[in-house]
Amino acid sequence: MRTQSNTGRRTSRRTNSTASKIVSAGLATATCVGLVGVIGIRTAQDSAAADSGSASEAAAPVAAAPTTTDGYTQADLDAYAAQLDAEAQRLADYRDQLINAAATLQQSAGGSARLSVTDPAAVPGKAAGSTAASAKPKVTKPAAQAAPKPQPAPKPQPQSNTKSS
Amino acid sequence: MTITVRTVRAMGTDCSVTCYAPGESGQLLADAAVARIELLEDCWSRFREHSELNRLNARAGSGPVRCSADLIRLVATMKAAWELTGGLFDPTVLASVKAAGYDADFATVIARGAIAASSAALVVERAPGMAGVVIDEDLSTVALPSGIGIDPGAIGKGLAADIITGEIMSAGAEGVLVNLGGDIVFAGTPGDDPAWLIAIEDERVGIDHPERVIRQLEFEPGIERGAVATSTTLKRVWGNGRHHLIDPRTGDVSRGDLVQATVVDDFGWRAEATATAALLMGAGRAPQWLNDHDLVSVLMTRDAVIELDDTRIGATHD
Repeated sequence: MRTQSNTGRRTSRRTNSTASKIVSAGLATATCVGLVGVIGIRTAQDSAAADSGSASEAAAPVAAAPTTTDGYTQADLDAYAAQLDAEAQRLADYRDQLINAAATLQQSAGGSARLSVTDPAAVPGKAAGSTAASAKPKVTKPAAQAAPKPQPAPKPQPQSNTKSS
Repeated sequence: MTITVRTVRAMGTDCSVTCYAPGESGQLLADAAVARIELLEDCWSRFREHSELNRLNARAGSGPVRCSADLIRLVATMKAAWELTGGLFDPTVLASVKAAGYDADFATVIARGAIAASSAALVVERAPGMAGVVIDEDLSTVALPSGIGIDPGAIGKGLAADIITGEIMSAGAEGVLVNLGGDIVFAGTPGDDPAWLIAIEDERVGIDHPERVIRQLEFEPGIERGAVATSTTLKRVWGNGRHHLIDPRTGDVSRGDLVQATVVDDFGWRAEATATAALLMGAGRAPQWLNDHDLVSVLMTRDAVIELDDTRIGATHD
């Protein structure tokens, strides 16, 4: 998946043309500047930042940052991975919250309650289940029923559609 | 046994969680459920710039992308819904939804009046479908074809309700009911009450109308779990009769004769997907299709109610 960007690709080995020679000379110069920069870093610690800055700038054509085919850099991918890790941590916190609730429930039920907290990401309801429905309610028409209204316990949940789609 | 109810505004709608559990644990479980709603919204919302879903959409065409288990589950569920409904439930209508002007949460869209401005420039294009979406659960990756964006829409709410209900029950609740803007999933027993009761509201009449509740669903005690979802073209309506329901076959807003569909299933995501599909099928085809899939439903046209109850007999009422 991860590939090198075009900027890191080697140029042709043919050096007959003027253009090729110019490119080769340019690369050689850049390499020399890079070496000078490295030597500068090693010999003058106080000016390390400035020297290394010019060195890396000059050396850029030789060693570009790796990117994916769609232009993501390693830093982008690392940030993406970090975001996923942070979300995984929030999920783990939520799981702890569930376990705490389950433990409290077990205590209040005298130890007889179920305690089967699973990984939240792996709880039931696998997507591709059977299409057969087993929830078969009795459908009634409220207006046809004698007053008073049906018992409010539990209060009927309104099915008003207020969702976004 | 105590009953704890938490209400919260999330996923662009009103949400509530009702927990039946002894003592303090009911409150802890209800709080956990609310926290889970927030986590799932953060992962799946197309209205949160940095949501994982938006990051995935942004990388369509760039090959497999590592995703969290929640996002993989959503995409897998959307694909299953697309297959179940023969492509009528299609989350790849995102481009058409945005073209219709629904490119932010609905309150924002209405507030800025952008819908009217975009009404003359709707790009109508058939949705590409989910066939090219590749999910690798072993590697935890999803690959979207180039140019495809997925919009979880209401199936995200149905699936979120499924997930939360399952997790709260697995933590030990006696019963739980999760209502995410009308997508309702419940499990276990409703405390000392005899049955779960769900009221279906008629969006064709005003909220204070005496016959606003048009049907009531009563589930037998002891049922392991159930779900009810309603889809309608009467809400979220803007200029020129536009609404949020896009027909993937045309890329334009749905123009069918059904205006509201309620479906009962074991899972919220499936109830939602089939309700959406029923709306798109229309009154001529939907009753038979729902009957073939053994689904209880209540459908409405502008002036009639078509009911498929547990006797599997369709009836039309004024």
